[in-house]
Amino acid sequence: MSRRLRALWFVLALPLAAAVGACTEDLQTGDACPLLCPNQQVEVRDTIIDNIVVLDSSLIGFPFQGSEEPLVLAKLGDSLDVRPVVRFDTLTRTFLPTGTATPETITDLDSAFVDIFLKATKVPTPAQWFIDIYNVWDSTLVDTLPRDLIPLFAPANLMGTYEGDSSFSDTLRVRIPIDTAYLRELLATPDRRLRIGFQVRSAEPVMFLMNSFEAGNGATLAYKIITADSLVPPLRTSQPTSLTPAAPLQFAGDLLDFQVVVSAPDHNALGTFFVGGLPGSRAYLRFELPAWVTDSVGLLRAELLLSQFPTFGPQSSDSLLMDAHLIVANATVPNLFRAATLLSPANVFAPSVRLLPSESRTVSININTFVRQWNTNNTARALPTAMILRSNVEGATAAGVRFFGTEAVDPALRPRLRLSYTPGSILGRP
Amino acid sequence: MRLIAAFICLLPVALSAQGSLSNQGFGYPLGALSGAAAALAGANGEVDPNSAINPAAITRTNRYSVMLRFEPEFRETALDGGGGSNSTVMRFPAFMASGGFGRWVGTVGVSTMLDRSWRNQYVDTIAIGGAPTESQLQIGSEGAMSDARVAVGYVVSPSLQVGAAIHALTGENRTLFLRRFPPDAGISAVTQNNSFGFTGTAFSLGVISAPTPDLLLAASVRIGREMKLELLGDELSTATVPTRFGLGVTYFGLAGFTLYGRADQTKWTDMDGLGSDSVFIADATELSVGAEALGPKIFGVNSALRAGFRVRTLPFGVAGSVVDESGFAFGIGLPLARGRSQIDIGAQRMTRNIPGAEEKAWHLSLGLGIRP
Repeated sequence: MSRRLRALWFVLALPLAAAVGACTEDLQTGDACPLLCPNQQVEVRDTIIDNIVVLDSSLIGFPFQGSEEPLVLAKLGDSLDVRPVVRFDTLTRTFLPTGTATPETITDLDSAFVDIFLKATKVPTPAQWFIDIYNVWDSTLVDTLPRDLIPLFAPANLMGTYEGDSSFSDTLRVRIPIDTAYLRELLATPDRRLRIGFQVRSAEPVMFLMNSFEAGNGATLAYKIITADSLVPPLRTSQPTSLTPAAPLQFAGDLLDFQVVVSAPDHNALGTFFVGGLPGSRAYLRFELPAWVTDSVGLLRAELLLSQFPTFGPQSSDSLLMDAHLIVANATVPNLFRAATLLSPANVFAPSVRLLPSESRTVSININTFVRQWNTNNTARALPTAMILRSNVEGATAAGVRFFGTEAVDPALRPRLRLSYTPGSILGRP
Repeated sequence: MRLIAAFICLLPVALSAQGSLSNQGFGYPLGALSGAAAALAGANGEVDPNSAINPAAITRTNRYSVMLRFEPEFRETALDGGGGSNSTVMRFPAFMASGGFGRWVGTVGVSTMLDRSWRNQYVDTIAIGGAPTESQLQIGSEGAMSDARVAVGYVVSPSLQVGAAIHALTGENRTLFLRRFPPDAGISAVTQNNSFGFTGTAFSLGVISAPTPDLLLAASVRIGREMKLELLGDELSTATVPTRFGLGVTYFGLAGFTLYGRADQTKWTDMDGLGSDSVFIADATELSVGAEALGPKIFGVNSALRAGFRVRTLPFGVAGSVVDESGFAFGIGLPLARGRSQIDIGAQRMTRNIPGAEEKAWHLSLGLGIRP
């Protein structure tokens, strides 16, 4: 390289080095703002809109029959009685002796039992408690109506009893013995089915949660057969099966296990709506929003203000988390119960609120994301501007919360919407 | 790789800034100076053919040429009583192509009139629902108001040149406004991206006269016409392109030296009403002096050593206070390729003040001229 060229590169390198150095920017946190950063404030306005909810309704029956997870096994005096039912519609009734091709009917049983997995609740475990199991099958009943099964929890159908004590405080696998004579007779009669109803009883309030089949560790049936053939495995186990209703087919699968609410407090009252409890209740709320809220301002916060009306009864001192969901059902779904199952995807949610049923206070639910979905430019605005409230342990607790609704006598107690927003101003203008 | 990196740096997008004195309102006026003029603190602006100021000055070169310029700024802003920020801004403020035919010379070029490139990020507290709530702001602007000029100059005689130009104001400010609240506050962010466009026209006239062989006098005026601020094509406001008057004097009487002086007044208040109510605009006066000396020979040709000083006020103030700016400049001009190209390297040290705040900045300058 000639001397002249080297000199040229040197001369060029000076500004280029400066340029390259400048390119690696050093952004440091400074505190010259906001003094030297004028025109960067936004005006925030707050307002409360009354009578924002135009329709409220309590929808009872959630989760659907057979979808309970876990199942409730409870007897709280006269106020709460819940009994799970597990279907074993398909039983092993024969065995194959060694060296033969002809199945032989099971005629004698050594022992039989049903295994269940229990979890304790906030209800203290009594010093003595019992679980009675009944065969609640009756071919004459419409077997999708759980309350029709209640009369079948009768001594004539009693198959066995388990006795527990207060040593159980967390989880427990319980093996409930079954009367072998009853089961032997049932196995010998191919038309008869086994649907085990579980009932807990105690001199004191008692409540457990029982694992459902869907959750895993559900109830299993087992019995040991007696045979002269020592090579035949004696133990026969069965998982829950359901053969009815025959159509639609998936309904039978849903009804592998479910719970029967024999008695539960009714918290519904005029001018209120209710969330939670047993059977589980969802509240449907439909709004009538001024278009300026969704279209013309920058929404910072939208809080639904609900006045809680205390409830008393079983588990009223147990807190629960209440979730709010956006309904995505459109106007072609006029059935509110159906609409309450068509909920927003996971990325459109409102923060859960922890509530105590026995409290009386104003509850605030942040529904920013919902209101933004109701923009008139969004096709969702063609849908009902509606949401549902539900307990996050829906169908697994008697705890529920009640709120004053649109027909509350005192207008101040009706649902309101508190908004914080920025007027539709142009930001960033010099 | 260095060349590639340097080229990337020439892209006019890299910026970072915290609150500053120079980026108020519609931005910082770069003055339409060439690399050589920047090294003279703008003192030769009225007679510099590569500065888009006096259209008569383009007659001082009658060869086809292309000029472009790069100017990074390194800035420190300090508040009385503590607090401040450091920031870096990259700029690519001028491009010009010119050519002559006989006594006529013409140029087309684009120069940055007001650069509004900055980004702020800070935390403050506002009342939401009556409760003080902390939030983080990220606010920024990219872009500039640019002056696209077509100029024609005419050599009336060796001692008199005149020129005229039409100016089209163009450009845009792309802004980001984001105010974000803590996740547990349950408050949605306020975010808005806008693109503000500028349109406007002006024309300018200039004259350069040499009453004696050692003296050059120059004057120019730019008369503004209507300008508009638009948002997504919708007109937001109108005003007038600022009118500007300038005078320049050049003295060649000292062997090996050229002395420059310049006075300039821009009626920035013509823009009143174009921006929001919070923009404080004031007319600006600029005074500058400079000297150019014959430098050492490089590659067999003489280089030019330059130095200058200027004082001025900036058009956009802070809370009613006018920002004063003063600074010195120095640099060197290097002819290359037997005069077919020229590199002008310079630096300006600027100080800006308002009561309660001071800003110091280095403006590096690289000008490249090519005469095919």
